[in-house]
Amino acid sequence: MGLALAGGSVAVAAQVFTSSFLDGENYVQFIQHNLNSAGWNRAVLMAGISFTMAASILNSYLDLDGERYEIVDDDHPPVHGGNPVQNGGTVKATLQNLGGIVQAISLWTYVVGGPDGAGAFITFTLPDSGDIADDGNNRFCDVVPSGSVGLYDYSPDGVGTGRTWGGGYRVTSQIYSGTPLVLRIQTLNNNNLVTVKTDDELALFNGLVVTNDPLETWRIIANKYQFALFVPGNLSDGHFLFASHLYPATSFANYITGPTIAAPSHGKRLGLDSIAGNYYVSTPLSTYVSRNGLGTANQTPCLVIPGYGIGQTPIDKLGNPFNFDILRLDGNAIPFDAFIAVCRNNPASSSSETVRIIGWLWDALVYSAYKVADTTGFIDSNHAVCLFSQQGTTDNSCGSLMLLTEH
Amino acid sequence: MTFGPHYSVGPILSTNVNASDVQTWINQSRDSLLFCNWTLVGSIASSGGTTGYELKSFPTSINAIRIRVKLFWSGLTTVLFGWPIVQIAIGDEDGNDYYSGDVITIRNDLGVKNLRLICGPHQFFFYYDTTLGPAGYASDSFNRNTAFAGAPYLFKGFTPGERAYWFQFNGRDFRSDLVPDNNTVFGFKINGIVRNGLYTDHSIIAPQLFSMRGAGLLGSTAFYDGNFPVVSPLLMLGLVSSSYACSIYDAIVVGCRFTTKTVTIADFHNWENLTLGGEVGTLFLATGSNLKFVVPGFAY
Repeated sequence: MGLALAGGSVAVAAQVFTSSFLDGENYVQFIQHNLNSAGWNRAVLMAGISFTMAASILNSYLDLDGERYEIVDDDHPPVHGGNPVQNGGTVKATLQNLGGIVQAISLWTYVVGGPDGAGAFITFTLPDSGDIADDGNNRFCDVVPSGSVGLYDYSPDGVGTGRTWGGGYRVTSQIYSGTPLVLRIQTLNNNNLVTVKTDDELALFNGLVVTNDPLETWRIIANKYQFALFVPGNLSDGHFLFASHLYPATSFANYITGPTIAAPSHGKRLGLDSIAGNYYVSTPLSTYVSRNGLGTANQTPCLVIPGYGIGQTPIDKLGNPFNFDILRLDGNAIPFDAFIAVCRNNPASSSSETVRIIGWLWDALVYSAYKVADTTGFIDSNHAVCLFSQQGTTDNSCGSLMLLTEH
Repeated sequence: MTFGPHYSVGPILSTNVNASDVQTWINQSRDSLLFCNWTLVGSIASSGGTTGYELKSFPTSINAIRIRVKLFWSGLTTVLFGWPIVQIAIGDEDGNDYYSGDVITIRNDLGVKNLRLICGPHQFFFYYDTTLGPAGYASDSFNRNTAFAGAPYLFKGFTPGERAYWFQFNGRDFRSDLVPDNNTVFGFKINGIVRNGLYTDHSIIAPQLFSMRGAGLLGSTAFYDGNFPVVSPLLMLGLVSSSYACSIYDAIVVGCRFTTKTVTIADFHNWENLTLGGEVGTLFLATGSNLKFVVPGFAY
């Protein structure tokens, strides 16, 4: 098979962009804009607000993007000049009452519940209307009385004052076969983090660290099926996420790996097992989320490359695995298919199955030699970059994952 | 696969050679190689009134590598039974760095012994196929049946004058596994490095092939549907401190174990497994092509 090129007959060049960020909103815009440029479809996810406390405190009010909504009932008409929102007696009933008002003013549609809360949460959505400058689809928000109304506010503008959070985009990969990869990319209530999650909310990758450091430049390498998100020169925790609607081995397969807040170490680029941090797998057989370390050693997702196998008397073998560069006589490495293998069922469950190859990474090859991560090279005369690599150890082969940056 | 298979221009011959008589085995082996465009260098001394031969392989398309082979009998016989053990010696194009192995036991006490021979313009593989019978000739301490050798595919541009070869003799070889152990008789010449003998010095990389496996695993890895990846043979030669990746002509490696003789058709070629019962992979050899080239001087 060889190199799985994402361009094909409808060539969409690999998109490579870099930027530094001051906050999560800016970061969300960076990701979605470049995925959209690479061929992903997108929809807007607007502000998420928790009304947990507001719903039970009459005459508390919410200023949302210039409009005021006030919680009222028959005995408590608006006293702050807000649009009356009938207190339905429960959190969810109050949220339902909000809908008509919000829709009338802002033409926002909304969903009560999810993505992050139970019933006491509302998510607004809009169809794709292009980029929205730098606010990540969050909105200015002010709740009175402050400090007790449950507003989750990403910005330290003051307790209960600032912006909504959870704004972002739903992005959908192109389909090669089967089911596309559909992700939500949203801000978190923390100005240094964003959330990447599957649209079904099964997989949550909320550990990407966005520092207010203009010297820390993020890079996204994207095509219409896949993207890698990382910081050149920074291989540490919380700085790598990879998502792909893979070139299928036999049927469609979607795969994501990246960090969470609880386990940022699973989003780093140190070694070939960088492909197996926290991970999400979706195939016709099953869809699950797991993480490296669950299951047995041969159930960890891995790249599949030529290497020594066990022989009849392993102790007599030269070395198992081959832990030094495999070079041709001319000094060049040998390119291998970028196969990725995972368990077909969640290894954290009762499955005892070893990994199987589910597909190819797009625009990628594994070179049989160690290259320093982020150094450049060529694949078929096109520029490529080493995403991650390892020199080889006593229990892992050497190699470098090279990813095309053009084609 | 990202490279290969590396096909020779042929012809490929898949045949049986009579190993019940020294001269018959020498002659049939010689004729088989000549059929594959090897060149007869000349006759050489051979014991017991037999005549040995030295031949030179057809130049590879990359680097124009040729190897020499000598087929002869030194007079060596097995202990107790006195069955002749014939020799194959491998050297480079100039006849340098020859290594002679005691490779094939000649027998006829259980009936005519035949060996399989799959050879092409750059390599040959002698081995015992139990389906040919009699079963008593299967490899053991008295029955030597395997000899593999060839000019490697080097993955580099045309540089006339390159000298290289590889070989394995006497079992514990690609017939049984893709990786060698202490019982493997091996040899190679690559980039000026010449090593041969019994494989006990593990700072040397005796000829061995890679199989597809997970980067962090010890076993080979299948596709989602249970089939295994096919790769071009990655033949490693050299020293741990100075290793070189090459390949074998007209061959593929399938990343799983085959315990019985298996023939198949793929990529317009007929294939047969050389490796039998290998732990993590199997070397398949092309036994012929379905492509019919019309090239003067070649019959493929």
